[in-house]
Amino acid sequence: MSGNTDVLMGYFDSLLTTVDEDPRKAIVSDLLAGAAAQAPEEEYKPVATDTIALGMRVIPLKPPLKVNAVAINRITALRLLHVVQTIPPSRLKLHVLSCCAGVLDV
Amino acid sequence: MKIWSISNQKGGVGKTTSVVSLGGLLADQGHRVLLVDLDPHGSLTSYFGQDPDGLERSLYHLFFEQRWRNVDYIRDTLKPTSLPNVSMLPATTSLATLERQVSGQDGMGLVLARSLAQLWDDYDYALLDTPPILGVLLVNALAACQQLVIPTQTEHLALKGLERMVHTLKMVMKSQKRELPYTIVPTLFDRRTSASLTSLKEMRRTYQGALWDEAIPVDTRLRDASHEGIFPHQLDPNTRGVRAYRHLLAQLSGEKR
Ligand SMILES: Nc1ncnc2c1ncn2[C@@H]1O[C@H](COP(=O)(O)OP(=O)(O)OP(=O)(O)O)[C@@H](O)[C@H]1O
Ligand SMILES: [Mg+2]
Repeated sequence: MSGNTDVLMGYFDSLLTTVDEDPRKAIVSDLLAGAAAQAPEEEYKPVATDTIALGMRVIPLKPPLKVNAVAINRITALRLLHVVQTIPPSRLKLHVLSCCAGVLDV
Repeated sequence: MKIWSISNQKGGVGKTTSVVSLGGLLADQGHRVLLVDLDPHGSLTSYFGQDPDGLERSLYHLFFEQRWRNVDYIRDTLKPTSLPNVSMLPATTSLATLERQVSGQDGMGLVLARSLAQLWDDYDYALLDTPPILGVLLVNALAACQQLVIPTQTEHLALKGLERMVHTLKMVMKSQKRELPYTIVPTLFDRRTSASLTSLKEMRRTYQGALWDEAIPVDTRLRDASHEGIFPHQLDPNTRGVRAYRHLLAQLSGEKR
């Protein structure tokens, strides 16, 4: 009886577990968990910042996709500009803006 | 929205009849009611004249491609019944394959709960008709409901089924870390047979607190209503079966405790 109950409990627990709803979020949080722990690779070093007064920090992530890299970089830069609008003027803001400008080639 | 699941792992105990009878009476009180057919047999779906083999969309389709997120998709899947304020989320035979397709995937027990959350303001009550098998569909119903009604035929064999149902319920409550109130409803009661009387006595002894203190009698008018495809109270508001379901409704909705 109790072995049977264990099997059933495993079944219920699996069916009733709450899974991360947005798969993109899951990818980003996995990447973040990996990247935040280690020093950025050489080519990304210029972009990385340390935590500063704002409590924010730029952690470069290697996008998992290589196809359409140029288009994806541009879209990401535009999204980033959108986000950076919302933070107060600071070193971080300037930094992000200049990175985006580099990607967008303006 | 209040969500009640009408479930028992034993077949033929009056689950579908209870869903239709209670749903009809709630609608008669002016409530907006959604009936959900989780049974691949589609008894509830056929009750209201839909063909579980022919429908293009059903509950089945909500399990794929996150369709439960799309409220318009869910609304378009609903079918009418013989009352304007009662809709039905129908079943198709394809539901029988669901276990094989999704049961290994985490979180698949929560699809119905999430679908109903999308319809939260559309209905006052949702009544869930479940298949008599422990599987992903029954788990979905138990996970979605706030109250469980367990119809139990008054005969000796049915008591085993009741025991299994209560055991399942306890495990699901443990997994979800919440309490789910349940009411055991003796059905198909015939006071002239000793089987009915002794099994009712036995239920009283074992499940005191959770047992409704009346019983749904055998009433052929309930069967007649299903042939007509209308709610029992539409056929005859004062037949014994309907009167008993009216008492049960008062108990379940807390008017009588
Ligand atoms: N109180 C009653 N009096 C007379 N007939 C009844 C009563 N309740 C149910 N029935 C009849 O008994 C049969 C089984 O009832 P019902 O379909 O409601 O059971 P069920 O638990 O939903 O069955 P299943 O497990 O197959 O889904 C049906 O033909 C129904 O009309
Ligand atoms: Mg049924």
